[in-house]
Amino acid sequence: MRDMMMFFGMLALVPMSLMSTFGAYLLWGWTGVLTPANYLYGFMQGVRYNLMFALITMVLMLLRGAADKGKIESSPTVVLLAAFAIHSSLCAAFGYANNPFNLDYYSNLLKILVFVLFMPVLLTKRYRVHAVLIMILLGLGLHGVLEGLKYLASGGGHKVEGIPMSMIGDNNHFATALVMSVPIAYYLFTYSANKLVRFGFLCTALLLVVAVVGSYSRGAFVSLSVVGAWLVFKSRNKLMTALIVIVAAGGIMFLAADTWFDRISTIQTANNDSSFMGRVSAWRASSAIALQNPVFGGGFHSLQVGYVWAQFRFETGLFPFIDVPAEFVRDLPRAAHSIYFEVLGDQGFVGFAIFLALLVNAQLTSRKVRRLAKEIGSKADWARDLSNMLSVSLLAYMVGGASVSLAYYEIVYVLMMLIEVLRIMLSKQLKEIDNTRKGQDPLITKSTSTTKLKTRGGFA
Amino acid sequence: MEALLFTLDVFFMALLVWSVLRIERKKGVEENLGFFAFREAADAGKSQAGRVNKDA
Repeated sequence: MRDMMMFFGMLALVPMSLMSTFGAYLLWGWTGVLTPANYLYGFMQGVRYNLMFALITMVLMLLRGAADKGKIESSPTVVLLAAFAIHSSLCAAFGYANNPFNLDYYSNLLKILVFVLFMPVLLTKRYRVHAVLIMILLGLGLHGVLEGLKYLASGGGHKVEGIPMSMIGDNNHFATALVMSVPIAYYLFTYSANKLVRFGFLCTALLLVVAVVGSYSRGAFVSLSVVGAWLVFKSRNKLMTALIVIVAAGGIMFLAADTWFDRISTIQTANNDSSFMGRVSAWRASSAIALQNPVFGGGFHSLQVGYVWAQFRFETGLFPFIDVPAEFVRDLPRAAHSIYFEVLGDQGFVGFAIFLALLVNAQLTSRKVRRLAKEIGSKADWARDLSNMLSVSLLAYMVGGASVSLAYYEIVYVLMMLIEVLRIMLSKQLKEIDNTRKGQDPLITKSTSTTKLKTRGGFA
Repeated sequence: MEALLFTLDVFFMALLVWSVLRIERKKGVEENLGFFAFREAADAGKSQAGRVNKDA
């Protein structure tokens, strides 16, 4: 049945994608985040939707370009992403041999970065930015909504797991990705015109929270708390946001099973927790790999390679002062369990510095967007609010990511570039306003900002 | 439930792409996303609240 629906859906979607480069691009992103193969069991399961729409987008770009095409400008975000891509290539080439994860993760990261580099070219108008946000929620949100509904229907008995065959296969990874999408759902709720759509996005946001609770992920719970507090702090409509956050928190208290409270309360006793101490041993080993290979690291997920783990598992690395009892250090290899230590082990100190610079740069660019929006005035309120929400999403990633190996997750890079796209759009808008004002007032010739123009206009 | 939501998801995605096509194929049409249209201001108390953006 689902395969038939997908078949008929594709009969409509493929021709539509051939008519618009941006439409094909949206479908490229949607199939990447949704991983439709998870929901199909018949003849449509083996189709490589993502590759198909990626190829359509690229061929259309080459043949006829896109309507209202932008260009890739040199900016800190673009330079850092390019540097990350080049350095990743070198790390994949010079990493430990016989690593079955190396090529997989490397090629995935490259695909993500190619997708992201298309964004400044295609996202030149507000409706396109809005469409990309909806696309993210239709892709990632579906998983969260389904799991949230299952958790509610089972009365708290359903354990939310990750999405197989994707980068969010683990419940902790999945929960962190869901927390990141809550601010996007909230933005779409506040800025959608249709009441039904608004209601849909509000329900989505609440169900995403329910799914995070159902994952029993402690790291995601901490980042969810950060998102809740930040939403209230940053939102312009604080009363309404606070009300929604209180309702969501009350819902959690009411719905969550006793086992959930037991699990979350172990945050306080992490030192005696085998799961947590196991993570610390992985962090130590990752930093030891970086110390031995400071420039290129050990290659993608080298920590999970048997002989590399055996060599480094008892190394203290950068943390000789943290004692991990031998019983917590497993014989079998394990993941880095932190975005920071994942990049540190995989790409050495150089890759780690670029990764940190990307995260910090995204927050700084977001601040720049808010400043530009303030200068433009109420017409750019949407961009200021969106930049706030994207900044919160990335903050949730930085907090929740401290305990999960999710450094190469596509949505993170998409959000970073979305912030950059907003900056480009507002800079252009501000320039246009400046030019218009200059044209209207011949006395003004050298001013570059509207703030200056307003002041001069006041004295004129 | 899963099949229904999945089908709805595919339908909404098709609707979104169709809205994009409508804007890009017909010059002069209002640059907004039809069913998924955005509005200008987020705060209900603001003068422009609830109004669909017409000059984006």
